[in-house]
Amino acid sequence: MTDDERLLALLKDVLSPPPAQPPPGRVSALRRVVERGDDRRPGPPPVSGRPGSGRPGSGRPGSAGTGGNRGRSSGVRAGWVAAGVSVAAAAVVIAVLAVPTLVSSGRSANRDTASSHGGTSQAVQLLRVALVSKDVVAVARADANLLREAKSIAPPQRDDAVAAHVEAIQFLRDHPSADAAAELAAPPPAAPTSEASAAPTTVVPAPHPGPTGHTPPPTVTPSPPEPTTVADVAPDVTIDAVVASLDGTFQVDFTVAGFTPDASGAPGTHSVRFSFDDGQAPTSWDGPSPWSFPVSAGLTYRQVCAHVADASGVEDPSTGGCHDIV
Amino acid sequence: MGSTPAEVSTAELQDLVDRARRRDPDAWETLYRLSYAGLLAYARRRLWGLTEADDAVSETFTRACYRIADFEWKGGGFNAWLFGILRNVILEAQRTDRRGSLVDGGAGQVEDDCLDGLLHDEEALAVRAAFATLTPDDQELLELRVVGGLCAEEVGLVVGKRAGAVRMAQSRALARLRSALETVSADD
Repeated sequence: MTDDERLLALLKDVLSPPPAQPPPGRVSALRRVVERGDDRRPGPPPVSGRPGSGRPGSGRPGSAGTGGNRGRSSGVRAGWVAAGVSVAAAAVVIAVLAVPTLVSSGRSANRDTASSHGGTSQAVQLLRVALVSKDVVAVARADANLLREAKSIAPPQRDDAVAAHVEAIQFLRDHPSADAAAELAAPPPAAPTSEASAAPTTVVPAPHPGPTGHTPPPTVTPSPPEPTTVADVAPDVTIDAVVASLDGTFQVDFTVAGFTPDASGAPGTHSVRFSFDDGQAPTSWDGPSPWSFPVSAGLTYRQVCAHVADASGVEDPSTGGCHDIV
Repeated sequence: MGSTPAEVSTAELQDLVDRARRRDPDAWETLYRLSYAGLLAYARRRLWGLTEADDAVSETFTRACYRIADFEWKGGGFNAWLFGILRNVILEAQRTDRRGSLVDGGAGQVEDDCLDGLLHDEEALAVRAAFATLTPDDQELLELRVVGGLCAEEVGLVVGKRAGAVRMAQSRALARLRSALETVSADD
């Protein structure tokens, strides 16, 4: 053995830790990464180039925490968490909620950085912060914001977004709050209601007949400030289900107490779909009954009522279905 | 599994890599277990804490999983390819986290639990002190060689040098280390 070899051996003894085996959790996480396939690839595009596959790696390792990384500063964890742990959560969302697809809204390279920061989207970060704060209203608001911005979230970050959303839903289910439900029920004020849009219509599956397990069940009494043409009486509304997907839509099933429909449909139950895609008033019916239809995110509850009334064939909402509702 | 990629046959490794390309989870798990100790040891030398090092290794395999199609089998090189990814992961982590600088830099260095048993070993202490006097390039090269377990050719692939240049650099680094050891010993 030469002097160099002896010195290398000594160096190895001093510098090398004892042999280690990977923790089981990390092994199973890797297996999930492998098993989930190529279509949600967070890394760079293959040699042939696939648009919108993202920057190399899973985005620049963020200094801000992502799932499992809250309060940490390493940043290298982000990709692993996004790619591994949250895959299961994404699968749950896809399978249980039967959302069409997380990638149906298309991918474009410029979206990869549109709303991202440090390997994760700002909306996700805000939601994570809200979850840490355990502020129910903040969580509801941040989750709604995440859903609004879902389409601009880069594909590599969508797993993380889905995981955050699932956490939020779970949190809201565990912490029922009228205020939070109001946040969920209230459409975003800035969303246009009349402008035409070239965005494709998103097909949302029919309402689930039973509990989804992802539903905040609070009962709320919204009091919209806007003057409307319907009777100004606050209805008792129970949100039965909020089924969200990251293709930019979510669906709210709610029950209006005491409502007796004057047209065919499930008595007392309305399945309302808010679409963040088109920003338009509903142009077509969708769903199993007239009580299930797409509406714009910009519509207020009372405007929804008006559509219900209109759908029921009553031209004057004040004397029609919404009148019955309120 | 106590072996490393360098300790399995080329045929076995190539078979694993081929299966990994076909997204065989078992192959990936085997590769992960084979490479884990070396990658983790290297990451622990370069990052602040064990958790960060473990994260870096995990991130390395995540990237490897998605980039396996880019890997070209040239009679080997898979281990070096992994170390190349890990090196980038660590550099990115260090850029975003100032604490992620080399941890073996002498005063104020983090306590490394794997060395706890050696803290009273004068020779080990001397080696560590001498090692800390080396340049970052020398340290990295020696870490890849002795901690990562890479051969000169593999180190060359990681750092972008020819194997001959790596051997020369290693020889010079060891000479400097030996000199530093003598100085440290004389000071004691």
